Amino acid sequence: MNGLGAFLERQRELRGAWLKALYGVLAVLVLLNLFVGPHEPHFGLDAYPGFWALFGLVVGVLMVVIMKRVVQPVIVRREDHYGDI
Amino acid sequence: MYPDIPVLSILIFLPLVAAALLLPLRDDETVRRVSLAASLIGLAAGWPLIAFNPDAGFQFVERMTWVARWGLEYHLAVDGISILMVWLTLFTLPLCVLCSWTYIGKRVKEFHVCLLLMTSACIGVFTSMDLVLFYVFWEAMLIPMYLLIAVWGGAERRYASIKFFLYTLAGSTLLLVAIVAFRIAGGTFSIPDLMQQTFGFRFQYWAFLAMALAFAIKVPMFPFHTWLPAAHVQAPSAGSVILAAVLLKMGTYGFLRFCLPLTPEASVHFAPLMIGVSVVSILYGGAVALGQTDIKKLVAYSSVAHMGFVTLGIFLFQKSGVQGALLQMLNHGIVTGAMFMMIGALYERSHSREVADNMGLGKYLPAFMFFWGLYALASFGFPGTNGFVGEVLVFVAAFQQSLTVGALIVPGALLAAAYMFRVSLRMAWGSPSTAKTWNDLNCREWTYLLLPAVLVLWIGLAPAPFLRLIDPSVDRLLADLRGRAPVKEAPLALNHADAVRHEPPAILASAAIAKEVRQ
Amino acid sequence: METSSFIHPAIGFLALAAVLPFLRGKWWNWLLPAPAVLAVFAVFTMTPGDHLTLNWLGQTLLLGRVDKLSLVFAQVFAVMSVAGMLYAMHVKDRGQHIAAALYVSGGFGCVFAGDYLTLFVFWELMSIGSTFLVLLNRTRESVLAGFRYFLYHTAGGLLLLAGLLIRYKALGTWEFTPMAPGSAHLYEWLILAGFCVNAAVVPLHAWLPDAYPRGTVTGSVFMCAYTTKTAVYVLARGFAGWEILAAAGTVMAVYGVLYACIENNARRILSYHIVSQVGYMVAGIGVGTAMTLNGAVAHAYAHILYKGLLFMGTGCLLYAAGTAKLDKLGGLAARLPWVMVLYMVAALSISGMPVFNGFISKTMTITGAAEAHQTLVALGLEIAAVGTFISVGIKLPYFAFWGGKPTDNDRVLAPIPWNMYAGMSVLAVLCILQGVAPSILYAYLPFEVEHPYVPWSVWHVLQSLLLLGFSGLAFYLLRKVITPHEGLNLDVDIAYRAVGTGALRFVCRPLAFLDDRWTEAYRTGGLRGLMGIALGSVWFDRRAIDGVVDGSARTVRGIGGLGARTQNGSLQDYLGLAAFFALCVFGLVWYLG
Repeated sequence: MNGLGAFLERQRELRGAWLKALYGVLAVLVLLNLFVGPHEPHFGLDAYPGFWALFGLVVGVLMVVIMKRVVQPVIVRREDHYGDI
Repeated sequence: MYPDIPVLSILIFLPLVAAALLLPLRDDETVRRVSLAASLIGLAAGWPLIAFNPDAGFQFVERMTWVARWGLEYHLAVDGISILMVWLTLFTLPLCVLCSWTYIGKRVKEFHVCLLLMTSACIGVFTSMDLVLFYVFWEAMLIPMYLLIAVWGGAERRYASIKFFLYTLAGSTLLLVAIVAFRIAGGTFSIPDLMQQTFGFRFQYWAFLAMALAFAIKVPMFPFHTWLPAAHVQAPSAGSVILAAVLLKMGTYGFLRFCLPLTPEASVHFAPLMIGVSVVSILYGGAVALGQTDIKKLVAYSSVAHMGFVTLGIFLFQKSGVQGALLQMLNHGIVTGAMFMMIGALYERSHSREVADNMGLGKYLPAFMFFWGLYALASFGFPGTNGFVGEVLVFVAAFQQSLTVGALIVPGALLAAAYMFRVSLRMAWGSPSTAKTWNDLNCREWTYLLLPAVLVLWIGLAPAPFLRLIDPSVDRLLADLRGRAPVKEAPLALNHADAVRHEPPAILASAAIAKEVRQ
Repeated sequence: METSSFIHPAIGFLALAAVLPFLRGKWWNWLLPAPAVLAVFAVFTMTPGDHLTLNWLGQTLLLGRVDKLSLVFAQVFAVMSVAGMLYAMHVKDRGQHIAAALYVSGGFGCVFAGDYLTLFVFWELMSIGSTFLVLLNRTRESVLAGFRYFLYHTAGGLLLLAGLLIRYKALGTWEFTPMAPGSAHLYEWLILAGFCVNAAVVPLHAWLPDAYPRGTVTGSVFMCAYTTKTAVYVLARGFAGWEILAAAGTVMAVYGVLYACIENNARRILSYHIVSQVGYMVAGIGVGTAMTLNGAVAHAYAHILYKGLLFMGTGCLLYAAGTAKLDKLGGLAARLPWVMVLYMVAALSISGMPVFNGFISKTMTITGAAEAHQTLVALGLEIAAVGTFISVGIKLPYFAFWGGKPTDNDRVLAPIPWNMYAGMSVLAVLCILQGVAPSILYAYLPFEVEHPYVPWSVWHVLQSLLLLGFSGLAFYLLRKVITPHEGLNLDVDIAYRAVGTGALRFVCRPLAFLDDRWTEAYRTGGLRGLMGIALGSVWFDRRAIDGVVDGSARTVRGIGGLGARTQNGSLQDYLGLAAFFALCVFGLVWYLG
């Protein structure tokens, strides 16, 4: 394990701090969005502050939940379903 | 260059002389060597044919009265249509001798005599300009082929050889009837003279049917193809090679030399039927090939499909179609001949023609698989190989004539890719490998596989010289046909002249793309 | 002084393929990047114009059409080939190198093709090269996948062939020129279909996730770059502005990420991502304005770089750990830190994070689409961006390198050779360079826009960070839901697999069986019939004629008997008899004549 590896290993312990940093950054970004907006909105709605944040969160959650919980149980089969392996 | 040497007669009689020379020999090895030498000498004797002038019609003419009372002549000549076939036959013989070197162990002398007799007969068929002479050579080729299968063939050789013999003979009988009819109606047996004459439609109708049946059996066209798988499977390696490379071409040569020039109106009349049967042959041959486990049988059915392309090309009556047909005749001879030689080499190692007994060769016989891969690519018409040139020419003609025909043969090309690839994959990587103790190609095998490979790439990448040989004859043939029969012209090009002038959207015609719009 | 200069970049690769089987010694691997370097040199020194016309079969072929569109694609192909060859240098199997070289030369050939015939030839060359890149993995899975891949691409190639032949008949030319959008000609649809097979347009895409995960470690790196981007190039050249592509591209973009969310095999995730990213490009081509076309081209350029890097990263994982399945990986960050870092460079690039090149390319397409009032397209592409970050940007590296597991010190990892790191580094550097200095990419974009696109604006950066940040949050919240499990997700390939096996089972095998029976019909029907006639004749001969002409009938029988006695099976006798009879007949005829 080289230097970088050891560094990464140490960061595992600092997991909590990294998470807090992430939340902080996200909050700052939303705050900035109040002041900085698009000069030419694509959809009209995206002129509102926080739109893209919400978009990212909602679309992300919906996508994962629908695909993993609804769609995959229907279409998943055994690894060797076609007899390829 | 050599105006007085009777080149064609030499080519025909040289193998006969060699066969006679072989008869007193006792030692097998000497027999093989003499035979090989004779085949190479025969090839060298074809040297004067280099002086062939594609523009000049029938050349190297030899004409002698044979039986004056009945108007039989000993009349030989070549033109653009037959020259390729003569070369093919000359090249095939040494390859056959080489590939039988260790394959044939008993009655070696008689075997080579048969090969030589066949070569002689085949050259005679392709160069005869007298109907009876043609028929004599046509029949003469039957007995050596029968013997090749019956004596040196596989387990069911009796059945396959008799089947081949009777099937072909049945067709040939009709051919004889047609020949006699031509004599009566035309007053001569000479083919060039008959080509100048016009016959009534009723006569042409029946003459065409009689000849077409004989040739269709030879080609072989569906549904007269059933003798071919049996014959190929049971024949020894060299027998399959000469059968596939040369004999099958006699059928299509017959269509080009006899049916189209002598019975033009009937040819045009029956063209839809012939096109339909060709398309069926292509699809049927491909489909059945896909379902085979015997490698030789698979290649046999692929021949049915390939020859379907040839007959299709002929009966579309387009220049590119006939060019494609002639090239395919040459290409198929080269590629399928090479494949049968390779199957023979494989049989010498595994003693089986089943795919299951010939698997996993990629690791132990890489050179073998390389050649096999090359010939497989050529077989389904991969660009850069000779198969592509012939196939694309036939495709162009098909699409020019009728969208439906073109659409129907496209799956044929896909089927060809499928069965070739499937069997090649199993041969290369199938497991468990059966090839662990086998040797890769030896010197002799390299020799006889290298030449066809060179031709595959040469014709595939630079087909111009070969096309140059055949073009004027093809033009003459089609012009003659068009002049004497109502050939349906290809539908006019759709009026899309405006589309050619299509200006790209304004955003594209910007200075950013430094390109001048070409007129 | 204007000199015209053109070296076809494919030449070096074709030469390599021809020479490789014969090289001896230990140092032949070092030859591998040479044609790539030559290609880079060639691309940067070539002048625009039409070069290399060739006469073949009576047609004029144009092998070297150089303009800004082909130049930019050739450039990225050349750069990628350097990285790819570097990455593959350690592979001892020469077949793989030959296949890769043929494949890459096919790509160059297609890009410079000025007419459809040339295009077709190089298209097929690419097809066979890539087939071998799958086959040479030599597992049962790969061989079967390679077979399906080959058949599928051959079918696509035949569609293209049919289209170009019909087009030739209609227009009388082979020239590869743009087609007017909104045309309804059959040949245009056929050619479009052929191109769409290679572009992996849904629903013709199933070959991609089927074959790419099963290719060799280094082969898949090549494949991810060339087949689909060549298709993008030909679509940009021929079908710019075709609206159906805008719709198809959007569908592809979303479809790909949806599947990527639920896949387990890392390389299959990336394969579905190719579908998605190419969807961006196809959509851009479909919208057809200068900005979206530029966006598509820029995206193609950037995509080759970061997708190559992604496949290289997962290739390293596969090489070192022996598997690419996420449920079997994890806890590797500390043991393969540089792989992780280089992977993350690509992951952030593909997601469109500022500083990396995805940011300067993806957003161009989306902005262009929005400006052209294609709101649905823009929306779809943004949704896809969310999905991209979640699946490739976070899910893949998270479960591959961490996965909530402690550092896996027990797993045996094969040491990764230096050249793999070198290849990855080349691409990573370029990703970052392009990201911070976008003009080095923009200078090569072929279409002139009304107002240049400026990616580094405050709003663009903010919007990207917002989108990505909160998508990341979504992942974090759902990290237990999105955990990958082993399993095969059905895709549209059930349809064409069914066709394949169905054709074999219901058409080919029965036909073969029937043909065998029909062959026997000769024996039962034909031969017996013939024998029946023969026997009848014998009876007739014996009874009828015998009764009338006693002596001659017996004579006939006697001769027949004599004939039977000579059937002693001796071959020499047969031949001798045949020759003797032939001579007799000949002599007789001659005498009588």
